[in-house]
Amino acid sequence: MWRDALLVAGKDLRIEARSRVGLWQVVPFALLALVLFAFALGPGPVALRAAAPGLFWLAVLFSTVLAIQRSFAIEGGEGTRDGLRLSGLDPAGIFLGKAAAVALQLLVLQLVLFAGVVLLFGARLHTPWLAITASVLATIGLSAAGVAYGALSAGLRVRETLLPLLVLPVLAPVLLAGSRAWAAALATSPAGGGQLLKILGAFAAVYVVVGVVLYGPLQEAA
Amino acid sequence: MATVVELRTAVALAGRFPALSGVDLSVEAGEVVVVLGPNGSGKTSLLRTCAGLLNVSSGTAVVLGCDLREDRVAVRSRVGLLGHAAPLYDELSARENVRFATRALGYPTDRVDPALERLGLVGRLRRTPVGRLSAGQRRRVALAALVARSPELWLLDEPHAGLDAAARRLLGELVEEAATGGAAVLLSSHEPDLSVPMADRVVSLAGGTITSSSPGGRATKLSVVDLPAPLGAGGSNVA
Amino acid sequence: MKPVVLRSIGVAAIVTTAATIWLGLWVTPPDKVQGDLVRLVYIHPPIAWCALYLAFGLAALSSLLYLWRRTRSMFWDRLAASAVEVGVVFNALTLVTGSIWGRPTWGVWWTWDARLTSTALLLVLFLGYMALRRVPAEPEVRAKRCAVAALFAFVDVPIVHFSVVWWQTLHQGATVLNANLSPTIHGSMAWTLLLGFVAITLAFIWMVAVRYRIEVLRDEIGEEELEVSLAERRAESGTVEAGFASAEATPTMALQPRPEPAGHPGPTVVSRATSTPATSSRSRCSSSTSSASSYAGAALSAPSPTWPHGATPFSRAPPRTARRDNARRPPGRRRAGTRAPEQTAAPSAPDRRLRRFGGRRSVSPLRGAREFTQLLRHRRPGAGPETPARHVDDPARRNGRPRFRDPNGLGCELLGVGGQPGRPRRERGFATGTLPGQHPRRGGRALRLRLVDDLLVQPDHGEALRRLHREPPRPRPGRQRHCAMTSPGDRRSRPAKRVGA
Repeated sequence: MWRDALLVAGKDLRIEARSRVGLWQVVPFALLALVLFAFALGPGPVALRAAAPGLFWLAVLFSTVLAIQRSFAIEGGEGTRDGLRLSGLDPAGIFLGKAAAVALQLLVLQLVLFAGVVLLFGARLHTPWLAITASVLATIGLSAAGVAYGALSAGLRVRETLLPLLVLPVLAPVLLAGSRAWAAALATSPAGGGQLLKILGAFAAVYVVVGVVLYGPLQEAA
Repeated sequence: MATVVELRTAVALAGRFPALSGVDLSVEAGEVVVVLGPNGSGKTSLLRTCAGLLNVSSGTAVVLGCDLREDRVAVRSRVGLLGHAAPLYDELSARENVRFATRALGYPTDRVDPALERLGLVGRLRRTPVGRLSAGQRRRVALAALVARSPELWLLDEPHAGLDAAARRLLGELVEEAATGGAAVLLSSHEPDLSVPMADRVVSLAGGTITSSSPGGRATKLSVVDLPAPLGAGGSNVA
Repeated sequence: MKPVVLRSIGVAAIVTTAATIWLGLWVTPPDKVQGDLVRLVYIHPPIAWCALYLAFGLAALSSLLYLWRRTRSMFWDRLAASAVEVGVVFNALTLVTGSIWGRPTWGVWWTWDARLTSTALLLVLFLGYMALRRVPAEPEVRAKRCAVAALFAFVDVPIVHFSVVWWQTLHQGATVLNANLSPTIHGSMAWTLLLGFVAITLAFIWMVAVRYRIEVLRDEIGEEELEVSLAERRAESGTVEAGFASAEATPTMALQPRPEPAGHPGPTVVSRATSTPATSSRSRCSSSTSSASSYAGAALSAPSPTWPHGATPFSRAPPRTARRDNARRPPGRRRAGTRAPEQTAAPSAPDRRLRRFGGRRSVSPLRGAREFTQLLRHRRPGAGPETPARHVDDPARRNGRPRFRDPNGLGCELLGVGGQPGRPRRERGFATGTLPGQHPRRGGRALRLRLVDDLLVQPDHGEALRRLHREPPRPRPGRQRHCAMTSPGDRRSRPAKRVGA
């Protein structure tokens, strides 16, 4: 399973490196979202600084949806989807490989977004370890749940509209916990950080396990 | 001879549509069977069913010893399907694609280069991303992946489509090599002139069922026949 | 679930809900703090409980059981879909009743209370499930996909709950609105609350059962359409020979007998047909149900279905099977109605066969082979020769009744569809039958039949009979008596008499 995961992750990342879609489309979309939020909330720095963590995670969430769609568009053709099924790869390995590739892209995205938030919204980080841990855990959870739901809707013609509807409610706890964690990290007093990390960790663990177990039947049903 | 494919009154559904409506087919190892039929008769569905991709809802379907009604996932890694659309990633080069296919099965990667050479993909063709190659060249890459995997059952869906004359000759050679190597080959075609000579058996499919079966152009069996010998000579003659 | 049980649950639900409403609105006293508003406590918590725990818990459990190979069956998938759909409705009702309660209490329609928020999120999660269910696909594929989605959503529920609770409690400047919606309950209020729980749970169960039934009917329609498309697909091949290679998927009403097992001297073993196919045009069905005439008449007034290439599924079946059967049987034993090439008639064999059906106790020729052979074994020895039925298939005397061959090869003429089985018609050559898989005492329809010699089968008659399988029975003023079903199972009612007397 791990060998298959490495193979699939390598394949996805190599394709991403050649095509640079994530770099040139998903990251600009996230930055664009930040700018649009600023338009929506008004230019007052106080409001933006207070809202910065939530807006950061909201942008991450929407970019996750895009990243998942891109990840499954790699296997867009009829031939490649069948090819993946016929390749003899362990479905759990395929799941972990795809999730790992998406997670790496999301981490890069968050770095860029963090820079954007610091610049655009004037936020300042006081406890970096909380922010980093929260980001890593949240990314694992986002990519696992996202790839699972992406596989669910990958083979359908209505996938563009179905995927956001399915995956965003599921990712809502990550948004909740992540934004509160970043609020604590950006503020001077990190209150309740432990509880949040527990929630993020539980989400990530649950969805990785559930995804590994159920990806086989999922690939059949797609 | 081991029976590689055994289908009896198999009904396969693609969505709500009965793609195969009762197929009786049996293919032995080392046999080349060509499936002819009009458009929409279910040739592609037959091949996909044998690959374990379509759901068999009734009848018997046993491929390479795996019962397709019980668990059709197990058979997938043991067959090689060449469909209409080649299972290639456009951004990766031919070499990387074939390498991915071989490593996915756990085979060592020293098979990759010989397979590419056999299919005539050398030099620059190996390194360009597959998306930039022509359709015929993409087919060759897909065939190279198939050759590198060397499955026990070859399922080729209209393999002659899009190939030039040299590639068609090459395909004939590959099929012959596969069959003599002990694999079973099941291919569907619209061109009887090209495919019947390489077949042991020609089967025609219409409306999701097999309507006739006749021998093909490939001599496969040597039979020892006792001919009446002239007086004074003994022994049997081989025909 | 039996219709009786379903109806009684529905009635009980209505009664208890009415009782709850009466008790809640008039009998119980108002609360000190909240006044009359507290009467919502008798329905709001029960609805919330049904929606969140019962419905979605049931959906998750059913999905899990569907995915586990050992218990895989479409029952679980349909149950999950029904539970989610009803659960979504109850969830919406929870939010609505919660808002109604909250407006006078808090002054606003909505507040980001922990419970309300997680309930709203749950609603959206399962709306996603319903959207997924509507995507067209094969039943098994759709079932697997929806089961996985339900499990994903269910697994998210505790995480959502904890995170929202935490999020709400840690909110700076805690809400001025007191989210305490549960007043103290005592006395008659407690009983009413309990009754409310029971009422809403019964209503929930009834709705899930009805929704399940709708799913079953939908799937049956889908299967019948599949049979039709299977037949059409085969007809594409142009030759009917190939199309009838499979006995299992043949869309007939068990008109194709399988070969006899070795050593069995009796009639051919019959395979029960799966489901009979729908007609190719629905309008014919509706037009015939609306007519007041008998089914036989209505069936024949409709034109026969047009099959591509002029091949019908039945045009060749009887001769082919006759050929196959006759090849396997010992010579001299031919099915009634088929002619041996060297004889014009086979007097002994048909006589014997018809004799088994003659007499007072008629036997249905359409039942399964097992029962038929059991009946034969119980035939009383020493019975004398009886005159065979003299009904001959004379086209001039058909009176518009459909004729067909039963699985054992006997020619039958359909006189009508009966209601409850009554006393047997005491005349030779008459029989009662049912369609395979049915029993007249358990909801099946008894067909009154007359046995005929020398049957000339027309394809559209088989078609008419197939359509009967799907139309509901109707009482008609019949002058003919109903024959009782005789089978080993009926021995309870008539223990003394034997079959074939």
